[in-house]
Amino acid sequence: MIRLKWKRVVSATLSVALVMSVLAGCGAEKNNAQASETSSQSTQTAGTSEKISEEPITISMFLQDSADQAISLDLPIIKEITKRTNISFDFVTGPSTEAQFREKFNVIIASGSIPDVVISPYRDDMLKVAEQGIFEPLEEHIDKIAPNFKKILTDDPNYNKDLKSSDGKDYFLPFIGAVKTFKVWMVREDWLKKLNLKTPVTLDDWYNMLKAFKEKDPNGNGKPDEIPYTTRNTKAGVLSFMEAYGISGFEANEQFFIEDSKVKYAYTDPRCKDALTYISKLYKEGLIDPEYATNDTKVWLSRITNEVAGSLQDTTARAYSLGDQIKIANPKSDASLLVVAPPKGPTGIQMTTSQMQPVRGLTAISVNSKYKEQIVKLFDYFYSEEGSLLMNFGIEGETYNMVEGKPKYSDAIAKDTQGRSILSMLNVFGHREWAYKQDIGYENALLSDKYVQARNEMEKYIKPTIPALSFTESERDIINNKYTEIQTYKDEMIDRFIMGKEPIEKFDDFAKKIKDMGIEEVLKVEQAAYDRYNK
Amino acid sequence: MQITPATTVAKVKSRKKSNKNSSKLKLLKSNYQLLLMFSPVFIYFVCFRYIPLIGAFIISLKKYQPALGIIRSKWVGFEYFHQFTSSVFFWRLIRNTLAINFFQLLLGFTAPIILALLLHEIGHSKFKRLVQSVTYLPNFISSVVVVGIVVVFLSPTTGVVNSIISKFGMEKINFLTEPSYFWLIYTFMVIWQTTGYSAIIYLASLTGISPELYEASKIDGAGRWSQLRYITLPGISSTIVILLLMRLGNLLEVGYETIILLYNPSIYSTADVISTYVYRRGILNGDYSFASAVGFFQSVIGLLLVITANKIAKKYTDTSLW
Amino acid sequence: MVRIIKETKGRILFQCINYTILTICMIIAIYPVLYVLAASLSSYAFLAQGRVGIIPMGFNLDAYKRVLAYPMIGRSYFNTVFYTISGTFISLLLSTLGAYPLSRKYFPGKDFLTKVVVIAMLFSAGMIPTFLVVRGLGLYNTVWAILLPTAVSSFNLIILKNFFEQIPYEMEESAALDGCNHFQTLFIIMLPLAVPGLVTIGLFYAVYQWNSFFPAMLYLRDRNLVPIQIILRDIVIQNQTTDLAVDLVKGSDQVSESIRYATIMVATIPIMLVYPFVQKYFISGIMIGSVKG
Repeated sequence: MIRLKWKRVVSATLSVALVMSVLAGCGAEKNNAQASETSSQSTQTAGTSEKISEEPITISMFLQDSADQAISLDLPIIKEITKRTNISFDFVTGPSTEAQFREKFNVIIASGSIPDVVISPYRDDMLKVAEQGIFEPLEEHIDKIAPNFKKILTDDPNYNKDLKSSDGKDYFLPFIGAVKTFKVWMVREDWLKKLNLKTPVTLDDWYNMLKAFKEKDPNGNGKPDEIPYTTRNTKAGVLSFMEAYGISGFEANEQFFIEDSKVKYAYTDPRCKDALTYISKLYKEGLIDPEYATNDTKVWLSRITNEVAGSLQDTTARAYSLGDQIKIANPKSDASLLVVAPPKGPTGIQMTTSQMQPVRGLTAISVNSKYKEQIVKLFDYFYSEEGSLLMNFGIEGETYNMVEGKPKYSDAIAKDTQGRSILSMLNVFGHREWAYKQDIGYENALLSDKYVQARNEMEKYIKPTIPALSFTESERDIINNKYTEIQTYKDEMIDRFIMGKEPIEKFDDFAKKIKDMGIEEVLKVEQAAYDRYNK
Repeated sequence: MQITPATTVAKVKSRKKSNKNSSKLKLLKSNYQLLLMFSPVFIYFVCFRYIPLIGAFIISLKKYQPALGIIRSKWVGFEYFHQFTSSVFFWRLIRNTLAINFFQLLLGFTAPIILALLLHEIGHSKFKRLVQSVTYLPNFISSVVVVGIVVVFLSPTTGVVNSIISKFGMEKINFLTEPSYFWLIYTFMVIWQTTGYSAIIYLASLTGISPELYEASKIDGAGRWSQLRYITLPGISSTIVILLLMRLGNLLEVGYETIILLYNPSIYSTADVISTYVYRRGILNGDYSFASAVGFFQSVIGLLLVITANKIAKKYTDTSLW
Repeated sequence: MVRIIKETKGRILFQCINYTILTICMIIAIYPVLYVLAASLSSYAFLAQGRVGIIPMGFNLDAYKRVLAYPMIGRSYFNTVFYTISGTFISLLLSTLGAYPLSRKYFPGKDFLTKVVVIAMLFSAGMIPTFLVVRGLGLYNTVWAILLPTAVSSFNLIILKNFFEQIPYEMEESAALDGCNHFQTLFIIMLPLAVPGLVTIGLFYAVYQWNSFFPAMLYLRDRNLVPIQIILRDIVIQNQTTDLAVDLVKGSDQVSESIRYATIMVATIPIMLVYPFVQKYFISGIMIGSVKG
């Protein structure tokens, strides 16, 4: 009797699974058919380069996968790479969420069998491993067989600094970004017009503008529901006002900043007190989103599309796309976001340290790999003009077309019927952020001309931020031991200052406590690493 | 005659009338069979639990670096234990972890029992099966979504709770930035997610109580409350005790995944627990040895608690783990 | 006479309150499920503004079409079903073999072995040591890496032991007198009587296996072996992380909301439906009851 019923359960579940598989199979087949159709129609690429490897070889590669599309040998761009170079791949993937990717990375390293190529955007993880002799030092290889990359390094010697480990060697081939501007300040342009306000320049202007947003009902619905400034970056989004005072420290790697060649900590600096006074005032008067500490992208987006948010700081790509998103939700709106220069502080400082580090994403080669030379040549190919075109734009005829001598993304990429972004679509076709130099054409394609211009204009306000440093083992020990504690205390107290739960007068006590917790030791270590960086 | 449960029941019933002495001797002699039976399980525990555990213990005594492997990593002795216990936040983390677990025990442990008892009173009906099927569902909705719902509910600008509060003329509360609310918010969230699912054990246990007992008690004039006190509760008491004992072993542990989604620095004073602190340190620095050391610390204390509680259970009840 | 009337009135009142409470519980419990379901069927414009409650707005099936068209979804679904069924079977078998001896009072190893089981529950070895063992046993990138390392849960084993202990001793005695050895007693007599316990932990194991993500992430390299959680989890977590660098640099994804919810539905509906099927095993153990009296 029991067996019979069990059978029923099994068959029921199996039939559900079968139905799902059939439904899925139909969809997948269609996708595959599309991809293979177009690739057989693609034009012959100018394949004058001799194959990198005389014989077909397969290299194993560990990388972070994209949630848009799982990487596989069937994807067009990957196929093209193999076609041109005779190198095929055996992918070992890690999840796209940071915590889990880093866990898997460590597990792979611990297992002892390192894939030929390891790619990770997490610099500290890579450095720790490199210095233990897991990765191959690359200077000699670059010198001998990587002319394209060598040229990039000679043109921009700063990259060398970013690539060097604390033992002075270079283990990595980098992904190099094309654009510096990361986050920009933006304001509802139509609200400014409606309330007859000028573009805000100083902190006082900002204060007045935010107050006007709050009190004068710019979204016109008769309810005082406006949230003049919002963020989805929790505390970091609100502390951006700190930069008008000449200090920065809100992004994860920017707790420290450089001044007069010295590494300093933003939160014990007296200017921080002034900044907090201003910010807490904004919070108290309801000019900053009261839920800044808990907002995630979803809530933040609803603030914007419900037209209660008046200003924010986010990527240029968002500045461009949010206007449209608001209009989709509310067709009658004339929303558009104006990119604005960073607020000017009381001493005239107008700056942002928010920028994309040019060197992001590191590729390393296992010291035990049998194919070291071929791998170096492969990535050097990506730095070449032809390879760069492949990595940035994909396959001619399929993902881009040459228009007036410049590559332009095809509609399959730029105008996806499901509304996916350009990057997502490129990922679907097999693009991944391996070691290559990003072309500004990619960044420009993400925006309209108006925003390309705004983005370029903002570059002049970018002040150098503390570079990504390489630490020795003993330096790391000190950071490990002291820093989590300091940061826990700091994060908690700063939020309390902003929210008015802790009076600003207590700031000096707070700064002293941090000193007692050992910030000086940490600074010493950071300074040592920084000096080494500059040598 | 074929041996089946039915025939065996019949036999036992008939045998009850006679006074035969059990053949305990016979059973004792064949204990090796039981050992044999347990052996694959023993192998499992050794292979997949205890051997890795030895590795983890060694890791907590070394400065483990994946690139060096366990053997070549440096010995540091109790360095990481010491770092943890001498942290400024050590006592706060312990307090928060214990407080959350206390609320979980008080409310979260009892809720499934109450639910199971309420369902038990319904008797067999479609309604009962419906309630059972529905209440067990929230367990499957990922924490990410549940936290999202909770945040929206409690929002001072758009949340339901606050609009009710303001209708009563009181000031709106930003719940997730006030430390004093966190323990309750978290506890209720967990109750919401897990009660229906956890009640299943008790429901299964309740089926083991003979309906004849209830019938007999009715004849004796027992009311609902008496039945509850003298039949139902004793019937599931062993299950309750066992689950409680096991629960105590985790008294110093609260999972970080959900709290990470729900907390923010302004409520660290009540929301930061041992596992979230370790998570931040671990993720920032890949500090395995630290995480391992703290893990052992939590487990050892949990073990002591279980041993003590087990002794108490043995003394005062019929049930105990060992 | 009066007493009986009082009792009936009290009983009716009690049942009313009971039904009300349980209905409220149901409503509270179903809310998140309806929320996810509605969101998965709603259009972007309404979701972005946070205007979707438990009723879909701008009803469309696009999200589901997207999710079901995701490559490898059919295969990974099959894998998940396979892992769940075989994993649960292995787990039940091992748990039974483990719980039964521990439930026999005369078993000399009872105390020691119970401690072995419980202590394993209290201590966790962590990822890397477990990984090294799995690899050392040659299980890396095989289905056994999914089925074996988590095959036995101490918690479930103890629960099953408790269920076995509640079966009256006379049953075992009688079976022994009939000439059964321990194995026969266990499988022929005891198992059928312990069905509610077996179903309970079977359910727990099945749910755990269905939702399992970490072992697959760590141990599987061959994409063909991967269960559905691997394929779909990234979609759900995306945009929830505080790692803004990932989102901000990689560009916005406008279609994410309803996809996320559709993903949750697709990944969880089958396991959500299992319980109603197994509820029938939670009827009163007629046999046990009649023996105990």
